[in-house]
Amino acid sequence: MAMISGENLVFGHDKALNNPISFSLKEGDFVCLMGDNGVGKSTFIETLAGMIAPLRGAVKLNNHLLGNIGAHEKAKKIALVLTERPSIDFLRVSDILKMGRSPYLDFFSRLMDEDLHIIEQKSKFVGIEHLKNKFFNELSDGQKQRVMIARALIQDTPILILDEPTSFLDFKATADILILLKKISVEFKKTVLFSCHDWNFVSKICPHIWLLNDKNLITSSPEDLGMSGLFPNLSPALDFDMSSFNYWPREGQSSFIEVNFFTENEKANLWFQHFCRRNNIKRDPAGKRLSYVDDCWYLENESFKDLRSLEKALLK
Amino acid sequence: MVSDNKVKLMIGLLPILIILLVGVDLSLGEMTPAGGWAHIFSDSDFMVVFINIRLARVISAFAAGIGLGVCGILMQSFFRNPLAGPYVLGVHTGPMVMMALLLLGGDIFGQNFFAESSRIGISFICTLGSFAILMLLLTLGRKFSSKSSLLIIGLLLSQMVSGFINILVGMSKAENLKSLTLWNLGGFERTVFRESLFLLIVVLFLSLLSFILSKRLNILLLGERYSVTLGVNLKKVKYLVIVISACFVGIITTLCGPISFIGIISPHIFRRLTLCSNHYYLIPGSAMVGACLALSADIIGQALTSFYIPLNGILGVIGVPLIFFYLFETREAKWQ
Repeated sequence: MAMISGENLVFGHDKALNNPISFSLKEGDFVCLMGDNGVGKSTFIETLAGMIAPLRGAVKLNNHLLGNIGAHEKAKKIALVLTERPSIDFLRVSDILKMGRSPYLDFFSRLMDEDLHIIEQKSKFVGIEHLKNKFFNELSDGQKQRVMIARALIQDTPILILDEPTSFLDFKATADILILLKKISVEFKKTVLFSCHDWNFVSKICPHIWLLNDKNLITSSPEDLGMSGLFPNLSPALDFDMSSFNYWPREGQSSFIEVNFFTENEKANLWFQHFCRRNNIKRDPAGKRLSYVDDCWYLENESFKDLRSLEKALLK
Repeated sequence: MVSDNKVKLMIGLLPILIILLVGVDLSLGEMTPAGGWAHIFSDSDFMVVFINIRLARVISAFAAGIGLGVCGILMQSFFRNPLAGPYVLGVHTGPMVMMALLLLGGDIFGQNFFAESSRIGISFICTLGSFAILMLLLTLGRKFSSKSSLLIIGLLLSQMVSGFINILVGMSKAENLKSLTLWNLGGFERTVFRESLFLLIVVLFLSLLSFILSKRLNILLLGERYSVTLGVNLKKVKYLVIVISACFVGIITTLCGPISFIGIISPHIFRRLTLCSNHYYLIPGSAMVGACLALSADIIGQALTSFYIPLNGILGVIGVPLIFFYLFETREAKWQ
């Protein structure tokens, strides 16, 4: 059964951002929302979460109109992680985690055993239990994002929606967060929808991709998007390399130096391919002979301790 | 949890401090009961002075301190701005205009409104003034995101209002001006017993209302959008906070004059002492710190010199350096 569905939905703050779209999000779905900056991903997410009303059409949660569900009831169904972060002095991580339980708490916000158990369990799952007594402002961006995700998990809703959870994060933290989201969707059978720009990573873990493109919503899989040619060829400055499923800057004018390369070393072979691609070096059997022996590169009879010094010699 | 113990210690210590300050403040003054303090109840002349002057003054200092402390934390949490406070943002200027109109109106319109109404009645009119300023702050503040722009808006509004008051002053007679100037200095000595009781009851009621908002104010620390996703009715909280703050400022300002800095400083003192941002503790804590500050300022004003130092004189001299201290302190903490 569809948990969230949209029927002929048009969203936007004042002015419509899209053509009418219909979609449905089912239990346990793991969906990445993609699209260029400014295309309305955040507005779409706010509309899905019922924070702003649709301009036309309807969003339904379990077949009830989202607008008719009270804020309190909605807080038990949909949890959000937004791009904004609290920046209050003396706010502890444990305080923030506790707020995740607030839709279930009485007037005095007393935590029952069950609440404490959920907070304990979820913060362990996200790997932040050692940060509990720290002030939120002291944490790194990656840790802050983990705390906000833990808070959303503690809200204990069947649906989790995240607006660009990996913005401002470094490569490692980005990977950690996306893998964590996948784990959350599998472990707790939650419906997870998040927006992200990292096609390289998302296409490898996400079965469903929703692409906001040219005022329409395309619901597809990474491979079908690849087949259709819509993704991954959005920028004229980039080429998609099918062999590595990776992007390369489109080749400009540069000198071609012809080199012939032999080695049995698999790693050296792969990284030399990378080297050639980056420098527009053409491999040619009739060119200069390059070899890799005992951690050293040899161009004809000249030796180089690494590819950097080889690059200098080749391109001077 | 270390911080929890700190909070409980402070919540326990502050009432003792308040009782001490109340005792000291009550005993200050030229008159002492005939036959010493042990015979206080048998000296009926002294009792009249004691209740109508000293007790009234101490009760209004206590109540005003509580009110400003709670009002400060309400505004800081609602605007999510550590520099917010009723005086700093110029909310007191709403009642100031109303007061100026009432006190000087006789000279300008030929009819003195002030003579015919009690100060309790006037306090309701002044509440409307502070409500208007708060609504202006809210609508204008929305247009800017930086924390200091709210201060600038408050400053500009105050400037505009004092310009208006200056026009009124230019049109009035000297004897009415004196009462406006005295009122402007702030002080707890001009309230009579009936007024101070009224102030205390209203302040306690409003503080209770604010305490009921604790859960929502806690969630609001996450940000407005987050609090909506957690089921908080933002509109309701917004209007409650505005109405409560307007009542606090309107009534306290009418009865005790515009009192500077207690509102902004009290929450900071309590937060810094306890490292706590939980409103269930912050609201009573900030209220008690406010009461301590108001009582201390009143004591210092009477005890230090042979003449009475105006309240805003003391609070300005102590308050501004405290705000500077806070600004530098947080700036350093951010860079660590």
